[in-house]
Amino acid sequence: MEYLNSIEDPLKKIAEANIRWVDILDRPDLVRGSLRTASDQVDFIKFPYEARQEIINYGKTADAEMKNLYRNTSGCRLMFFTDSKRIVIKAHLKRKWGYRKMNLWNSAGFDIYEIHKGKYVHKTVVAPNEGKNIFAEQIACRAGEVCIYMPTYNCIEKLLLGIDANAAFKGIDDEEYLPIIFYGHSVTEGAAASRSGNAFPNIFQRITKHEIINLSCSSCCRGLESMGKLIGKLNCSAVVIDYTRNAANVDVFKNTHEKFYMQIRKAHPDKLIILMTSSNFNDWKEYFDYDEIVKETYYRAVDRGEKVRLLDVMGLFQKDEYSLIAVDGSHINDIGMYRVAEALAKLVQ
Amino acid sequence: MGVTSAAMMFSNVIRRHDNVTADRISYNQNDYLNLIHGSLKNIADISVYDAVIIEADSMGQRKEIVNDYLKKVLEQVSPCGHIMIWHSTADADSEKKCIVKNIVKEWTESHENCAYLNLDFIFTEQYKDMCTYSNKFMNDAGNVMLYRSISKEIARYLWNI
Repeated sequence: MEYLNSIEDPLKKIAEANIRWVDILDRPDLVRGSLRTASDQVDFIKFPYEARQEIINYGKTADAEMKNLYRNTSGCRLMFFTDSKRIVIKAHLKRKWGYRKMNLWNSAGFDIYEIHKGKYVHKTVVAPNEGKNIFAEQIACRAGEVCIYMPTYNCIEKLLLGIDANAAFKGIDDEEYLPIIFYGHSVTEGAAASRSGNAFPNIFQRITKHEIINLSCSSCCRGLESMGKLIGKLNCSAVVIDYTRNAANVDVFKNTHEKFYMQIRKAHPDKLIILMTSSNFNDWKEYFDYDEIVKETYYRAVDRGEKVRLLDVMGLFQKDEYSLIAVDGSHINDIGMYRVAEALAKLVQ
Repeated sequence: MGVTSAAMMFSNVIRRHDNVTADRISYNQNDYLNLIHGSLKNIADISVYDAVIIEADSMGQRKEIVNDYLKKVLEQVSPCGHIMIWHSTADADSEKKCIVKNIVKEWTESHENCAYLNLDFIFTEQYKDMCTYSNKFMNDAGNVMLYRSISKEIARYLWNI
């Protein structure tokens, strides 16, 4: 790992003479998971101005997290083919510091997979140390398709991908399905996975090969009208609503959960919508109440004949394994992430 | 290294899930068996422990260290009731794995209180995506897998389960 003062700095440890640099922000064709609001530039903004204003009404914590993470790259990934013998990631991230909920390989990590005949094989993960946000790292690779999941709790100021000057390099046309939208909170954004590729929406993407757009932001999943409006406009094959724990209290949740669902249902009358209950590993009473409200929304939708499914999250875990799959009352580690992703994958089949 | 909180270290999971007392000696260095050998010299009576669990190798350790010190460490802990020797490494370590296997095989031929746990499965295709960061480090899930495997052996030996 080579740390830099500026992303323009020449590299000292990595031989740079024969590297061709690709500026990722100029190559939307290589990026999956962004909203692509600009035509020729990558735009990682997931929460429009309207949402950033609406969240101010939900208190200082939510507002601060939104300001911090409204263009987080969770769920975003690079997809390309190269026969270069090495790739170099040269990145300038917004944030220098980690979060207490997770390690840096997740929050600031570029998680690298090689794709062999359609199968994702994990290669390694690259992330800077605490206090660093501009760095370069070289990774040996073999010819083929590569997928790089981007940081879950950070934003990209600039990202350069280095390959051997004479190597082949091109995007991959792999989008078989319309994307599935994930709307959720810190866990949905990926908190407490060990690395960015193991956030459950990203695992789901690898299992199902469905493209995803992860519109999740820690503390900010409030069933915002502006986000309902945005999701309603997106051309997608399904929507996963993981809205529970960020609601201020049971009354607020009762007044917003079904309303949010109905807003999206109105815009997507025939699309599959999956409702998730809460992850509640410390038996917090309010979360049980939240789950009842989620189920009420679900059963009423079923009665109306709508295409809706329910993921009872706590039904995926045995009580005696709670301390093995969660790092606190709500945040699941990779075992939990895998279980949720696999359950969701079954629901979209 | 690699867990999200101290509670997820496999030794701590063993402590709380199996309700046992555990002392731990570990070094954040590639070559560690020689250091373990040095630390064990400071334990006055190793026989007070019901069991000793030894990681025989890791990705970064030199084969000379494994060759020179694994048997010495086994001799030091032999007064204990039961010895569990485990490793969980990626395929690149095959030469060192042979060294470990040969030492353990030789040891178990003359000692009954020794179990060999090959836990390399954590780095196989089926598990590595969930359990590891790379070919070197495990995450929480990897530590849970270690716990489950080692705990079975503890239960078999200590409680005949």
